Amino acid sequence: MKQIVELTVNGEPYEVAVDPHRTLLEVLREEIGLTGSKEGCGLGSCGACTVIIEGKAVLACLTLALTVRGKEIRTVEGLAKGQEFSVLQKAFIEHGAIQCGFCTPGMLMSATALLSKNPHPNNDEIKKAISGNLCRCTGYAKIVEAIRSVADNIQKT
Amino acid sequence: MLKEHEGKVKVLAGGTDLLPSMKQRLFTPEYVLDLRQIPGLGEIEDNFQKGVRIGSLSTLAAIEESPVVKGRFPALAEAAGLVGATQLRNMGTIGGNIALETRCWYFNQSHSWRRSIERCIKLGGKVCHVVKRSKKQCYAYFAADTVPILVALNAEVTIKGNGKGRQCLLKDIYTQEGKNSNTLKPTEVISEVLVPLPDPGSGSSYKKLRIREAIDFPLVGAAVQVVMSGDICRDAKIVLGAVGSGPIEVTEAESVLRGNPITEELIEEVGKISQKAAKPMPNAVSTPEYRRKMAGLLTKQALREAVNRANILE
Repeated sequence: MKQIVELTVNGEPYEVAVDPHRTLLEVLREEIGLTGSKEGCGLGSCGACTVIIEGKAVLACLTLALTVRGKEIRTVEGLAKGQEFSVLQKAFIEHGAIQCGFCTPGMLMSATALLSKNPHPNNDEIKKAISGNLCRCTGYAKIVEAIRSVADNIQKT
Repeated sequence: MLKEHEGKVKVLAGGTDLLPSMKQRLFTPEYVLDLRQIPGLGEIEDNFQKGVRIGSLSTLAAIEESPVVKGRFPALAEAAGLVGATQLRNMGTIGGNIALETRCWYFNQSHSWRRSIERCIKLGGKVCHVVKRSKKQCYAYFAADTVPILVALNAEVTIKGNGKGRQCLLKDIYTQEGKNSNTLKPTEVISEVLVPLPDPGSGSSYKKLRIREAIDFPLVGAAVQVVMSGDICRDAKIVLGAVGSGPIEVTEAESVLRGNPITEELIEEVGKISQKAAKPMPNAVSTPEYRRKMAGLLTKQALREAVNRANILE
Protein backbone atom coordinates (compact mmCIF):
# COMPACT_ATOMS: atom_id res chain seq x y z
CA MET A 1 0.00 0.00 0.00
CA LYS A 2 1.48 3.36 -1.01
CA GLN A 3 2.65 5.80 1.61
CA ILE A 4 3.04 9.54 1.16
CA VAL A 5 6.65 10.46 1.75
CA GLU A 6 8.46 13.78 1.77
CA LEU A 7 11.95 13.61 0.32
CA THR A 8 14.34 16.56 0.25
CA VAL A 9 16.47 16.36 -2.88
CA ASN A 10 19.07 19.01 -3.70
CA GLY A 11 17.43 21.30 -1.20
CA GLU A 12 13.94 20.96 -2.72
CA PRO A 13 11.04 19.16 -0.98
CA TYR A 14 9.18 16.55 -3.02
CA GLU A 15 6.04 14.78 -1.88
CA VAL A 16 5.58 11.36 -3.48
CA ALA A 17 3.34 8.35 -2.99
CA VAL A 18 5.47 5.19 -2.96
CA ASP A 19 5.05 1.50 -2.30
CA PRO A 20 7.34 0.26 0.49
CA HIS A 21 9.40 -1.86 -1.88
CA ARG A 22 10.45 1.00 -4.17
CA THR A 23 14.11 1.95 -4.09
CA LEU A 24 15.33 5.52 -3.85
CA LEU A 25 16.79 5.15 -7.34
CA GLU A 26 13.40 4.24 -8.79
CA VAL A 27 11.70 7.10 -6.98
CA LEU A 28 14.32 9.66 -8.04
CA ARG A 29 14.17 8.59 -11.66
CA GLU A 30 10.52 7.64 -12.13
CA GLU A 31 8.51 9.71 -9.64
CA ILE A 32 10.63 12.83 -9.30
CA GLY A 33 12.10 12.82 -12.80
CA LEU A 34 15.74 13.20 -11.78
CA THR A 35 17.28 10.74 -14.22
CA GLY A 36 20.90 11.73 -13.60
CA SER A 37 21.46 8.83 -11.21
CA LYS A 38 21.80 5.65 -13.27
CA GLU A 39 21.03 1.98 -12.79
CA GLY A 40 24.10 0.01 -13.85
CA CYS A 41 23.68 -3.26 -11.97
CA GLY A 42 20.96 -2.77 -9.39
CA LEU A 43 22.93 -4.93 -6.98
CA GLY A 44 25.49 -2.63 -5.40
CA SER A 45 28.44 -3.62 -7.56
CA CYS A 46 28.91 -0.67 -9.92
CA GLY A 47 28.23 2.66 -8.18
CA ALA A 48 26.34 4.25 -11.09
CA CYS A 49 23.48 5.07 -8.70
CA THR A 50 25.67 6.84 -6.12
CA VAL A 51 23.98 9.74 -4.34
CA ILE A 52 24.96 11.64 -1.21
CA ILE A 53 22.83 11.31 1.93
CA GLU A 54 23.86 13.25 5.04
CA GLY A 55 27.29 13.84 3.56
CA LYS A 56 28.03 10.20 2.72
CA ALA A 57 28.15 8.53 -0.67
CA VAL A 58 25.57 5.74 -0.74
CA LEU A 59 23.86 3.53 -3.34
CA ALA A 60 20.34 4.59 -4.25
CA CYS A 61 19.56 1.20 -5.81
CA LEU A 62 19.94 -0.50 -2.44
CA THR A 63 18.14 2.17 -0.42
CA LEU A 64 14.42 1.76 0.18
CA ALA A 65 12.80 5.14 -0.44
CA LEU A 66 10.76 5.05 2.75
CA THR A 67 13.89 4.77 4.88
CA VAL A 68 15.22 8.18 3.80
CA ARG A 69 12.20 10.38 4.42
CA GLY A 70 13.34 13.57 6.10
CA LYS A 71 16.99 13.17 5.04
CA GLU A 72 19.01 15.54 2.85
CA ILE A 73 19.62 13.80 -0.46
CA ARG A 74 22.01 15.21 -3.07
CA THR A 75 22.11 13.98 -6.64
CA VAL A 76 24.24 14.96 -9.62
CA GLU A 77 21.56 17.44 -10.67
CA GLY A 78 22.38 19.44 -7.56
CA LEU A 79 26.02 20.03 -8.37
CA ALA A 80 25.60 22.77 -10.95
CA LYS A 81 24.31 26.19 -9.95
CA GLY A 82 21.81 27.05 -12.64
CA GLN A 83 23.72 26.92 -15.92
CA GLU A 84 27.11 27.00 -14.22
CA PHE A 85 28.84 23.62 -13.81
CA SER A 86 30.63 22.98 -10.54
CA VAL A 87 34.43 23.12 -10.43
CA LEU A 88 34.50 19.32 -10.36
CA GLN A 89 32.19 18.99 -13.37
CA LYS A 90 34.33 21.44 -15.34
CA ALA A 91 37.45 19.54 -14.42
CA PHE A 92 35.90 16.27 -15.67
CA ILE A 93 35.12 17.94 -19.00
CA GLU A 94 38.55 19.58 -19.33
CA HIS A 95 40.47 16.41 -18.48
CA GLY A 96 38.57 14.09 -20.83
CA ALA A 97 37.22 12.14 -17.87
CA ILE A 98 33.91 11.49 -19.68
CA GLN A 99 33.36 9.13 -22.61
CA CYS A 100 29.93 7.51 -22.65
CA GLY A 101 29.03 9.39 -19.49
CA PHE A 102 27.14 6.58 -17.78
CA CYS A 103 29.46 6.26 -14.78
CA THR A 104 29.95 10.01 -14.56
CA PRO A 105 27.12 11.00 -12.21
CA GLY A 106 28.19 8.31 -9.72
CA MET A 107 31.86 9.31 -10.05
CA LEU A 108 30.99 12.97 -9.47
CA MET A 109 29.00 12.14 -6.35
CA SER A 110 31.73 9.91 -4.89
CA ALA A 111 34.30 12.62 -5.64
CA THR A 112 32.08 15.33 -4.17
CA ALA A 113 31.60 13.34 -0.98
CA LEU A 114 35.37 12.81 -0.76
CA LEU A 115 36.28 16.47 -1.29
CA SER A 116 33.71 17.72 1.22
CA LYS A 117 35.29 15.57 3.89
CA ASN A 118 38.90 15.68 2.72
CA PRO A 119 39.73 18.66 0.47
CA HIS A 120 43.34 17.54 -0.03
CA PRO A 121 43.31 13.79 -0.70
CA ASN A 122 46.36 11.99 -2.01
CA ASN A 123 46.07 9.73 -5.05
CA ASP A 124 45.43 6.62 -2.95
CA GLU A 125 42.57 8.37 -1.14
CA ILE A 126 41.06 9.48 -4.46
CA LYS A 127 41.24 5.96 -5.86
CA LYS A 128 39.73 4.52 -2.69
CA ALA A 129 36.89 7.03 -2.82
CA ILE A 130 35.96 5.95 -6.35
CA SER A 131 36.74 2.27 -5.82
CA GLY A 132 33.03 1.53 -5.75
CA ASN A 133 32.43 3.19 -9.13
CA LEU A 134 33.10 1.15 -12.26
CA CYS A 135 33.95 2.71 -15.62
CA ARG A 136 34.12 0.64 -18.82
CA CYS A 137 35.36 3.43 -21.07
CA THR A 138 38.09 5.61 -19.66
CA GLY A 139 40.45 3.36 -17.73
CA TYR A 140 40.00 5.68 -14.73
CA ALA A 141 43.24 7.66 -15.21
CA LYS A 142 41.59 10.85 -16.46
CA ILE A 143 38.92 10.63 -13.78
CA VAL A 144 41.58 10.51 -11.07
CA GLU A 145 43.46 13.39 -12.77
CA ALA A 146 40.30 15.50 -12.87
CA ILE A 147 39.64 14.96 -9.18
CA ARG A 148 43.33 15.54 -8.43
CA SER A 149 43.25 18.88 -10.25
CA VAL A 150 40.31 20.08 -8.17
CA ALA A 151 41.95 18.89 -4.96
CA ASP A 152 45.16 20.74 -5.84
CA ASN A 153 43.30 23.95 -6.50
CA ILE A 154 41.17 24.06 -3.39
CA GLN A 155 42.45 26.86 -1.17
CA LYS A 156 44.69 25.44 1.50
CA THR A 157 43.47 27.11 4.69
CA MET B 1 7.05 -7.93 15.51
CA LEU B 2 9.51 -10.58 14.46
CA LYS B 3 7.49 -13.13 16.43
CA GLU B 4 4.16 -11.94 15.05
CA HIS B 5 5.19 -12.34 11.44
CA GLU B 6 7.64 -15.18 11.93
CA GLY B 7 8.59 -16.74 8.62
CA LYS B 8 7.41 -13.72 6.62
CA VAL B 9 9.70 -10.96 7.88
CA LYS B 10 13.34 -10.10 7.29
CA VAL B 11 15.35 -7.53 9.24
CA LEU B 12 16.98 -4.61 7.45
CA ALA B 13 20.14 -2.85 8.56
CA GLY B 14 22.37 -1.46 5.78
CA GLY B 15 20.49 -3.33 3.07
CA THR B 16 23.62 -4.17 1.12
CA ASP B 17 23.00 -7.92 1.38
CA LEU B 18 19.24 -8.10 1.89
CA LEU B 19 18.25 -5.90 -1.05
CA PRO B 20 20.36 -7.63 -3.70
CA SER B 21 19.04 -10.97 -2.39
CA MET B 22 15.47 -9.72 -2.59
CA LYS B 23 16.04 -8.36 -6.10
CA GLN B 24 17.26 -11.81 -7.11
CA ARG B 25 14.25 -13.31 -5.34
CA LEU B 26 16.40 -15.38 -3.00
CA PHE B 27 14.15 -14.10 -0.23
CA THR B 28 10.64 -12.81 -0.71
CA PRO B 29 9.55 -11.57 2.72
CA GLU B 30 6.16 -9.93 3.14
CA TYR B 31 7.60 -7.55 5.70
CA VAL B 32 10.96 -5.88 6.15
CA LEU B 33 11.80 -4.51 9.60
CA ASP B 34 14.11 -1.48 9.55
CA LEU B 35 16.39 -1.90 12.56
CA ARG B 36 17.78 1.60 12.11
CA GLN B 37 14.59 2.93 13.71
CA ILE B 38 15.81 1.46 17.01
CA PRO B 39 17.94 4.09 18.77
CA GLY B 40 21.23 3.34 20.45
CA LEU B 41 22.41 0.41 18.33
CA GLY B 42 24.92 2.45 16.36
CA GLU B 43 27.37 3.51 19.01
CA ILE B 44 31.02 2.64 19.46
CA GLU B 45 31.98 2.93 23.10
CA ASP B 46 35.37 2.63 24.70
CA ASN B 47 34.67 0.76 27.91
CA PHE B 48 38.19 1.05 29.23
CA GLN B 49 38.25 -1.90 31.59
CA LYS B 50 36.23 -4.31 29.54
CA GLY B 51 37.12 -3.39 25.99
CA VAL B 52 35.25 -1.73 23.16
CA ARG B 53 31.50 -2.09 22.75
CA ILE B 54 30.36 -1.74 19.17
CA GLY B 55 26.64 -1.42 18.50
CA SER B 56 25.44 -3.78 15.80
CA LEU B 57 24.20 -0.95 13.60
CA SER B 58 27.59 0.79 13.53
CA THR B 59 28.48 1.18 9.89
CA LEU B 60 31.64 -0.43 8.59
CA ALA B 61 32.83 3.05 7.59
CA ALA B 62 32.37 4.30 11.15
CA ILE B 63 34.34 1.35 12.49
CA GLU B 64 37.06 1.84 9.86
CA GLU B 65 37.45 5.47 10.89
CA SER B 66 36.83 5.24 14.63
CA PRO B 67 39.84 6.53 16.58
CA VAL B 68 38.89 4.13 19.40
CA VAL B 69 38.94 1.06 17.13
CA LYS B 70 42.01 2.20 15.18
CA GLY B 71 43.86 2.79 18.43
CA ARG B 72 42.99 -0.44 20.18
CA PHE B 73 42.39 -2.90 17.33
CA PRO B 74 43.91 -1.56 14.09
CA ALA B 75 43.36 -4.93 12.39
CA LEU B 76 39.61 -4.66 13.02
CA ALA B 77 39.49 -1.15 11.56
CA GLU B 78 41.43 -2.44 8.55
CA ALA B 79 39.16 -5.46 8.12
CA ALA B 80 36.09 -3.20 8.18
CA GLY B 81 37.81 -1.01 5.60
CA LEU B 82 38.34 -3.99 3.29
CA VAL B 83 34.65 -4.83 3.01
CA GLY B 84 33.13 -3.97 -0.36
CA ALA B 85 33.72 -0.39 -1.36
CA THR B 86 33.21 3.12 0.01
CA GLN B 87 29.45 3.36 -0.58
CA LEU B 88 28.86 -0.17 0.70
CA ARG B 89 30.78 0.61 3.89
CA ASN B 90 28.76 3.79 4.42
CA MET B 91 25.61 1.70 4.39
CA GLY B 92 26.65 -1.73 5.67
CA THR B 93 26.77 -2.52 9.38
CA ILE B 94 28.89 -4.76 11.59
CA GLY B 95 25.77 -6.70 12.59
CA GLY B 96 25.00 -7.29 8.96
CA ASN B 97 28.54 -8.49 8.28
CA ILE B 98 28.41 -10.86 11.27
CA ALA B 99 25.09 -12.28 10.07
CA LEU B 100 26.04 -12.14 6.37
CA GLU B 101 24.43 -14.83 4.26
CA THR B 102 26.87 -17.49 3.04
CA ARG B 103 27.59 -17.36 -0.68
CA CYS B 104 27.86 -19.70 -3.62
CA TRP B 105 27.74 -19.06 -7.32
CA TYR B 106 24.80 -21.42 -7.69
CA PHE B 107 22.88 -19.51 -5.01
CA ASN B 108 23.74 -15.84 -5.64
CA GLN B 109 22.11 -15.69 -9.04
CA SER B 110 18.95 -14.16 -10.41
CA HIS B 111 15.64 -15.95 -10.32
CA SER B 112 15.70 -16.64 -14.04
CA TRP B 113 19.22 -18.12 -13.87
CA ARG B 114 18.28 -20.41 -11.00
CA ARG B 115 15.09 -21.53 -12.74
CA SER B 116 17.16 -23.37 -15.31
CA ILE B 117 18.70 -25.79 -12.76
CA GLU B 118 17.35 -27.93 -9.97
CA ARG B 119 16.67 -26.13 -6.68
CA CYS B 120 19.62 -26.54 -4.34
CA ILE B 121 19.78 -27.43 -0.66
CA LYS B 122 20.30 -23.82 0.46
CA LEU B 123 17.06 -22.90 -1.28
CA GLY B 124 15.17 -25.76 0.31
CA GLY B 125 15.75 -28.25 -2.50
CA LYS B 126 17.44 -31.61 -2.56
CA VAL B 127 20.69 -31.25 -4.51
CA CYS B 128 23.99 -29.48 -4.14
CA HIS B 129 25.52 -28.37 -7.44
CA VAL B 130 28.93 -27.99 -5.80
CA VAL B 131 29.24 -31.29 -3.96
CA LYS B 132 27.11 -33.64 -5.99
CA ARG B 133 26.97 -36.43 -3.45
CA SER B 134 25.69 -34.14 -0.69
CA LYS B 135 22.19 -35.00 0.43
CA LYS B 136 21.63 -32.40 3.15
CA GLN B 137 24.78 -30.34 3.73
CA CYS B 138 25.18 -27.00 2.00
CA TYR B 139 28.72 -25.91 1.08
CA ALA B 140 28.12 -22.20 0.59
CA TYR B 141 31.14 -20.25 1.82
CA PHE B 142 31.49 -17.82 4.68
CA ALA B 143 31.97 -14.36 3.17
CA ALA B 144 32.30 -11.91 6.09
CA ASP B 145 35.56 -9.97 6.44
CA THR B 146 35.14 -8.67 9.98
CA VAL B 147 34.36 -12.03 11.56
CA PRO B 148 37.75 -13.80 11.32
CA ILE B 149 39.49 -10.91 13.08
CA LEU B 150 36.68 -10.53 15.62
CA VAL B 151 36.97 -14.24 16.46
CA ALA B 152 40.77 -13.93 16.69
CA LEU B 153 40.23 -11.05 19.12
CA ASN B 154 37.89 -13.23 21.27
CA ALA B 155 34.91 -10.98 20.59
CA GLU B 156 31.61 -11.62 22.35
CA VAL B 157 28.21 -10.97 20.87
CA THR B 158 24.92 -9.99 22.52
CA ILE B 159 21.79 -11.27 20.83
CA LYS B 160 18.27 -10.18 21.72
CA GLY B 161 14.86 -11.49 20.85
CA ASN B 162 11.52 -12.46 22.35
CA GLY B 163 12.20 -10.25 25.36
CA LYS B 164 15.30 -12.26 26.21
CA GLY B 165 19.00 -11.73 25.66
CA ARG B 166 21.97 -14.04 25.34
CA GLN B 167 25.67 -13.43 25.25
CA CYS B 168 28.37 -15.73 23.97
CA LEU B 169 31.65 -15.83 22.12
CA LEU B 170 31.07 -14.70 18.54
CA LYS B 171 32.78 -17.87 17.39
CA ASP B 172 30.04 -19.98 18.96
CA ILE B 173 27.18 -18.71 16.82
CA TYR B 174 28.59 -20.30 13.66
CA THR B 175 27.53 -23.80 12.62
CA GLN B 176 30.09 -24.46 9.82
CA GLU B 177 27.19 -25.38 7.55
CA GLY B 178 26.11 -23.32 4.56
CA LYS B 179 22.31 -23.32 4.77
CA ASN B 180 21.81 -22.40 8.42
CA SER B 181 25.18 -20.85 8.98
CA ASN B 182 24.53 -19.26 12.39
CA THR B 183 22.36 -19.96 15.40
CA LEU B 184 20.32 -16.76 15.18
CA LYS B 185 16.64 -17.57 15.37
CA PRO B 186 14.24 -15.67 13.07
CA THR B 187 13.04 -13.71 16.12
CA GLU B 188 16.55 -12.64 17.21
CA VAL B 189 18.78 -9.71 16.32
CA ILE B 190 22.38 -8.94 17.18
CA SER B 191 22.52 -5.90 19.44
CA GLU B 192 26.23 -5.43 20.07
CA VAL B 193 29.73 -6.84 19.88
CA LEU B 194 32.22 -6.54 22.73
CA VAL B 195 35.88 -6.75 21.83
CA PRO B 196 37.82 -7.35 25.06
CA LEU B 197 41.02 -5.51 25.82
CA PRO B 198 43.95 -7.42 24.39
CA ASP B 199 46.71 -8.60 26.70
CA PRO B 200 49.89 -6.52 26.76
CA GLY B 201 52.25 -7.59 23.99
CA SER B 202 49.38 -8.28 21.55
CA GLY B 203 49.47 -7.67 17.84
CA SER B 204 46.93 -8.59 15.18
CA SER B 205 46.42 -8.50 11.43
CA TYR B 206 43.86 -9.40 8.76
CA LYS B 207 44.71 -10.18 5.16
CA LYS B 208 42.11 -10.47 2.39
CA LEU B 209 42.46 -12.06 -1.03
CA ARG B 210 40.14 -10.94 -3.81
CA ILE B 211 40.45 -10.56 -7.55
CA ARG B 212 39.85 -6.80 -7.62
CA GLU B 213 40.92 -4.31 -4.99
CA ALA B 214 37.39 -3.31 -4.12
CA ILE B 215 33.79 -4.49 -4.21
CA ASP B 216 34.57 -8.23 -4.21
CA PHE B 217 33.87 -10.62 -1.36
CA PRO B 218 36.93 -12.48 -0.03
CA LEU B 219 38.29 -15.57 -1.75
CA VAL B 220 40.41 -16.09 1.35
CA GLY B 221 40.59 -14.18 4.64
CA ALA B 222 43.29 -14.78 7.27
CA ALA B 223 43.18 -13.19 10.72
CA VAL B 224 45.92 -13.60 13.31
CA GLN B 225 46.31 -12.36 16.86
CA VAL B 226 49.51 -13.07 18.80
CA VAL B 227 50.57 -12.24 22.34
CA MET B 228 54.32 -11.84 22.51
CA SER B 229 56.79 -11.83 25.41
CA GLY B 230 60.01 -10.67 23.81
CA ASP B 231 60.36 -13.07 20.91
CA ILE B 232 58.39 -15.88 22.55
CA CYS B 233 54.83 -16.27 21.36
CA ARG B 234 52.75 -16.73 24.50
CA ASP B 235 49.45 -17.14 22.72
CA ALA B 236 48.08 -17.12 19.20
CA LYS B 237 44.74 -17.13 17.40
CA ILE B 238 44.54 -17.95 13.72
CA VAL B 239 41.18 -17.76 11.96
CA LEU B 240 40.44 -18.31 8.28
CA GLY B 241 37.48 -16.90 6.38
CA ALA B 242 35.93 -17.71 3.00
CA VAL B 243 37.46 -21.20 2.82
CA GLY B 244 34.66 -23.02 4.61
CA SER B 245 31.05 -22.53 5.59
CA GLY B 246 32.09 -20.75 8.76
CA PRO B 247 35.19 -19.09 10.22
CA ILE B 248 37.85 -21.78 10.71
CA GLU B 249 40.08 -21.57 13.77
CA VAL B 250 43.36 -23.31 12.93
CA THR B 251 43.97 -24.74 16.41
CA GLU B 252 46.85 -26.97 15.31
CA ALA B 253 48.81 -23.96 14.07
CA GLU B 254 48.02 -22.11 17.30
CA SER B 255 49.48 -24.97 19.38
CA VAL B 256 52.61 -25.03 17.25
CA LEU B 257 53.19 -21.34 17.99
CA ARG B 258 52.36 -21.28 21.70
CA GLY B 259 55.43 -21.03 23.94
CA ASN B 260 57.90 -20.88 21.06
CA PRO B 261 60.14 -18.20 19.57
CA ILE B 262 58.96 -17.02 16.15
CA THR B 263 61.37 -18.24 13.48
CA GLU B 264 61.00 -18.36 9.73
CA GLU B 265 60.78 -22.17 9.95
CA LEU B 266 57.92 -21.91 12.41
CA ILE B 267 56.12 -19.42 10.21
CA GLU B 268 56.50 -21.78 7.23
CA GLU B 269 55.10 -24.64 9.28
CA VAL B 270 52.14 -22.52 10.35
CA GLY B 271 51.51 -21.68 6.68
CA LYS B 272 51.47 -25.36 5.72
CA ILE B 273 49.06 -26.25 8.54
CA SER B 274 46.79 -23.36 7.62
CA GLN B 275 46.78 -24.41 3.99
CA LYS B 276 45.59 -27.88 5.00
CA ALA B 277 42.91 -26.48 7.29
CA ALA B 278 41.35 -24.47 4.47
CA LYS B 279 38.45 -26.27 2.79
CA PRO B 280 37.37 -24.13 -0.16
CA MET B 281 34.86 -25.57 -2.61
CA PRO B 282 34.46 -24.89 -6.34
CA ASN B 283 31.77 -22.27 -5.75
CA ALA B 284 33.68 -19.02 -6.15
CA VAL B 285 35.80 -17.31 -8.74
CA SER B 286 39.17 -19.05 -8.28
CA THR B 287 40.08 -22.73 -7.90
CA PRO B 288 40.05 -24.47 -4.53
CA GLU B 289 43.72 -25.37 -5.05
CA TYR B 290 44.69 -21.72 -5.47
CA ARG B 291 42.63 -20.61 -2.53
CA ARG B 292 44.18 -23.31 -0.30
CA LYS B 293 47.69 -22.16 -1.23
CA MET B 294 46.74 -18.55 -0.68
CA ALA B 295 45.24 -19.40 2.71
CA GLY B 296 48.70 -20.61 3.72
CA LEU B 297 50.40 -17.56 2.26
CA LEU B 298 47.99 -15.03 3.77
CA THR B 299 48.30 -16.71 7.17
CA LYS B 300 52.08 -16.26 7.02
CA GLN B 301 51.70 -12.61 5.99
CA ALA B 302 49.19 -11.92 8.75
CA LEU B 303 51.37 -13.71 11.29
CA ARG B 304 54.46 -11.68 10.39
CA GLU B 305 52.51 -8.44 10.58
CA ALA B 306 50.87 -9.38 13.89
CA VAL B 307 54.25 -10.20 15.41
CA ASN B 308 55.75 -6.92 14.15
CA ARG B 309 52.86 -4.97 15.62
CA ALA B 310 53.15 -6.77 18.97
CA ASN B 311 56.84 -5.93 19.17
CA ILE B 312 56.34 -2.29 18.26
CA LEU B 313 53.72 -1.80 20.92
CA GLU B 314 55.72 -3.42 23.69
